[in-house]
Amino acid sequence: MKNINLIIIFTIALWLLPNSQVMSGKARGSQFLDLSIEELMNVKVTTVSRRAQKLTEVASAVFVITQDDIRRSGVTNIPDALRMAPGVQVERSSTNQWAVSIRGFNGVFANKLQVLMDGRSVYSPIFSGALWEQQDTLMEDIDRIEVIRGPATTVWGVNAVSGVINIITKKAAETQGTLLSAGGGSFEHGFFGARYGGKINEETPFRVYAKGFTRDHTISLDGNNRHDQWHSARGGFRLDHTRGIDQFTVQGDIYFNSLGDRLGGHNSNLLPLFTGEYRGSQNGGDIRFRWDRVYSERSSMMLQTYYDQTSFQMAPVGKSDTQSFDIDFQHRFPLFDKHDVIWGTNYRLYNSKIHDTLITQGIPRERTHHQFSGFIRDDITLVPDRLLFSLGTRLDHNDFSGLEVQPNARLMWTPDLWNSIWLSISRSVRIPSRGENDAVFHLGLVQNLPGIPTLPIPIALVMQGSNNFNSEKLLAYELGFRHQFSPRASIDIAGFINDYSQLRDLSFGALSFSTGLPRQLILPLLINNRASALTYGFEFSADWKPTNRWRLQGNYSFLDMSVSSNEMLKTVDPTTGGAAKISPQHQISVRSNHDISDKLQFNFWLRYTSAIGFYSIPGFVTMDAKLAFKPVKNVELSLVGQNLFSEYHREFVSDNIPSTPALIPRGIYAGVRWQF
Amino acid sequence: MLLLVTRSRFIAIKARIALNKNIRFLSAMFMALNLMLFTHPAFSDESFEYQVKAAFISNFIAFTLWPDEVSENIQLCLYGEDDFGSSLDQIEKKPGGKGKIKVRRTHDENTLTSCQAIFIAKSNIKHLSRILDNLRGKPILLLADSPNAASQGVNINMNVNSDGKVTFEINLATTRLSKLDFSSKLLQLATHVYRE
Repeated sequence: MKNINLIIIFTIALWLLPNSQVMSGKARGSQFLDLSIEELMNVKVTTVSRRAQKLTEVASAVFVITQDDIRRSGVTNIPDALRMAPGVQVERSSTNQWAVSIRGFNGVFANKLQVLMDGRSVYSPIFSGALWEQQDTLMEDIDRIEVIRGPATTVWGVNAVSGVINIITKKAAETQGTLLSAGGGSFEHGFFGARYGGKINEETPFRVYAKGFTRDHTISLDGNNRHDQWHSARGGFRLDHTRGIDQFTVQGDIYFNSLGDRLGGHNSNLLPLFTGEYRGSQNGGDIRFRWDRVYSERSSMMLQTYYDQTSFQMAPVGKSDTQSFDIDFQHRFPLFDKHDVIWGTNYRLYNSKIHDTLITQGIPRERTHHQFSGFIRDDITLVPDRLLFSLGTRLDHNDFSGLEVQPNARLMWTPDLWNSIWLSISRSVRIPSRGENDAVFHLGLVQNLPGIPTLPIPIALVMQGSNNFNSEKLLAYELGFRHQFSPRASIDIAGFINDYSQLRDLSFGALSFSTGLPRQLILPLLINNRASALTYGFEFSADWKPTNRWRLQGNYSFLDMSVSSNEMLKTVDPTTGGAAKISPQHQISVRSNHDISDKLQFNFWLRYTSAIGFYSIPGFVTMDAKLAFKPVKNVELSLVGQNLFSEYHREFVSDNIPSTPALIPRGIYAGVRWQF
Repeated sequence: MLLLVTRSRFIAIKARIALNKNIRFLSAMFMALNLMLFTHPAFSDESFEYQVKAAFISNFIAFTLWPDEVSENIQLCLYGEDDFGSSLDQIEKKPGGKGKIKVRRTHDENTLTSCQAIFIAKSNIKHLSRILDNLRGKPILLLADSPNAASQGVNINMNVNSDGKVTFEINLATTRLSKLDFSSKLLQLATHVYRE
C-alpha cells in the first residue's frame, strides 16, 4: 500500500508543477477542423455536467458497449456482446449456457454480479446469478450496455459485488417506424426480428417487437450430438409518455425457450448420477412501470416498480418457478452549493419454488423472502470542476443474513479536460441465495477424491444448503486513470485489489447410509463461510480513430486470484475452491470498425483468452468478422463469421451440473435488415 | 485439521508476497504513465470551447449554398470581441470546398455588407435586430452563439447543452429569405429548425 501512496504523491506533485509544458490551444487548434460535424457534436466542451453522472466521468471503472458496437460486431445475443468489455469473463459452455462474471469467480451460476435490464434486476433468487439464456431482447433496440467493474452496491444494490451489467434499451421515440431483420447460417440456423414503433400522440410514442431464433446443437468432445439445440420466441412492448416535467414508461416482455443438455459429467473425480440427453424449457415474463420527475439538472426523482416471473424445467437437473416484485424510489437534490445528494429506498419480494428433481430438491419447496434497503450518497465538490469526493452507504435487510452495511468512498480528480484519476474504497456483501439456504444438490458419485478411501460401495456426494450460511464480504481498493490524447484517442486504466472474506466453502459432513435402494454411502458437503481470497488485477483499454472512417478499440485484462479454502475440495468445487483456476488470467480483445465506403463496412474482432486450468481448457485466439453492404439507405445485407480461427474450440463447462463438455463451433450466417 | 489450517495460512502469505511483487510492477506502470502524460501537450481550457466552435463554423460554411452570383471565395467576418484566437484563422488553411475562406475581424457595423458570413460575437448580440434590419434579404450567412439568437433570425446559432456538447439550431425561414440554402445533413443534425 505504501507504493500506491507514493504514486499518488508523485502524480499530484507532477500536476502541481508550473504548467510549463501545457501548450496553449493555439498551436493545436486546427485538430478539430479534421473532424466531421457528427464527431464535433460529440466533443464535450465544458465540464459542468459532471453532476449529470456521465458514465465516462464517474469515479469507477466503466465501459459502455453501444448499439453501434453491437451492430458492427455481428453478435446475436447479449452475453457475447459483453466480451467487448474489459475485465469481463464471458465463456460459452453450450448452445444455451454462458458463464459471465467480472474480475473473477466465473461460473454458469456466478453469483457476485448485478444484472439489470432497463432497471429490472434479473438475477435468480435461487442462486443469485443471471441465467443468460433468459436475458434477451431485440438486439437492434438496445441503446447501450453499461458495464461497471468493481463494487457498486451503494447505488445498484446487493450483489453488485464484482460489478454491474446494465442493459438499457432505446426509448420508444427512438424506435419509430418498422424494422424487419432475418437471417440464418450454420450455427445460427435461423432468426427473425420485427419491431413497429408508432405514436398515440406526440407525447406518447410506443413500440412492439417480436423475435425468434433457432440455434444448432453443439457436440461433445467425443463427437456426440449434445441435443442442446435452442429454439426461442420472445415479444414485448414499451410505451413512453411525457407530460411537462414528468416521464412515464410502461414496458413488458414474454418469452419461451426450448433447450437441452447432455449429461455425462466433466469432472474426473465425480461420476455423474445420470447420463443421456434431456430437453427442457423455460418461460417467463415481466412488466415494469417507471415514473421520472426532473426538476432541474441536479434535482430529480424516480419511482419504479416491476414484476417478473420465470419458470424453468430440465429433468432431472432442476425445476423451479420464481417470481419477484420490486419497488424502488430515488431522489436527487443539491444541498448548499457543493453537495449533490442522492438517496433511495427499495423493497423486493421473492417467491420461489424448487421442485423435487433427481438432482435438486428444495427444503422447504416454496419460500417467500423479502429485502428492504435504503441508501444515501453525497457527491461533494471540493474544488469546482477539479476535485469531487463521494461518500455513500447502503443498508440492507434480508431474511438470510439480516442487516448488511455497505459503505463506499470515492475521490475523483480532474486536473483538466484531458485527464482524470480516481480512487475508491468500498465494502460490499453478497447475500446468501435461497439455494444456499434450502437446496440439496446431488453432485455425483465420488471416484477418487484425495483423502477419501476407495470403497467397494459407491459414495454419493450431496451438497446441502444451510441456514447458518452468512453473506460473503468484500473489501475493494480501486485506482483508475483516464486520459484523452485528442478527440480521437483515449485510454482508460483501472486497477484493483479485492480482499474477500467469509466466502462460501464446503466441508464434509458425517458419512451415512442411504435409506433407499441402491444402497450407497452418502457424504454430505456442508456450506460454510470459511474461505477467503485475495485477487488483484488491472484492465487497460484504448480507443483510437485513425481516420473518420476507421475506429480501433482494444483492451487487455489481467487477473490474479489466490483462494484459501478447503484443500480437499479444490478439485471438485468450481465456485470457490477452484476459482483461482477458473477465470482466465489474461484476456485481450481488439476490434476494428472500418467504413470502406458509404455502402460497405468491414469489421473484425480478435480475441484471446488464456487457459482455464480447472477444466483443462487451453487458451485460444479467435476472430469474428462482419461484412455489411448497404445498397440503399435503409437496407443492410451482412455476412458474419464467428469463431473463425478453428472449427471447434472449448470455452467452459457448466459448474455443478454434470453436463458433458461442449465444443463451440465456427459459425457463418447471412442477414438482412430493412427499416422503413 | 491443524495441517490444513497452517497450509491455508501459508497460501495466504504466499499470495500476499506475490501481490507485493505485482504492486511494484503496477507502480512502475503508473509512474511511466504519469511521465508520458506530462510530456504530452495538453489544451488550455479557456479557448477549448471556441476551438470546437471554430470547427463548427468551418462545417457550417461547407454545408451552406450561396446563390450563384456570390463569389466562391467567402469572407468570414467576426463582429465583436474575439473569443476564438487563432483557431478561427485555422479555417483559412483548411483544404477542401470550392472557394477560399478569408477571416476578417471587425467592430465596424457598416463594413458587414461586404461579408459572405458573419459570426456575431456575444459582445455584439445586443445589436442583433439592427443588424438583421440592415442585412435583410442579402445572401449573408449569420452565425452566433447566444441564447435564442436563431428564433430571432440568426441563420445558425450554437448552444452548449447540458451534456457539455455543442449543438446548433437553424432558422430556415430567414435563410430562405436571404436566398441561402443548407444541405439536408445540416438540417438533420440541427436540434431545432425554425421554419416560419
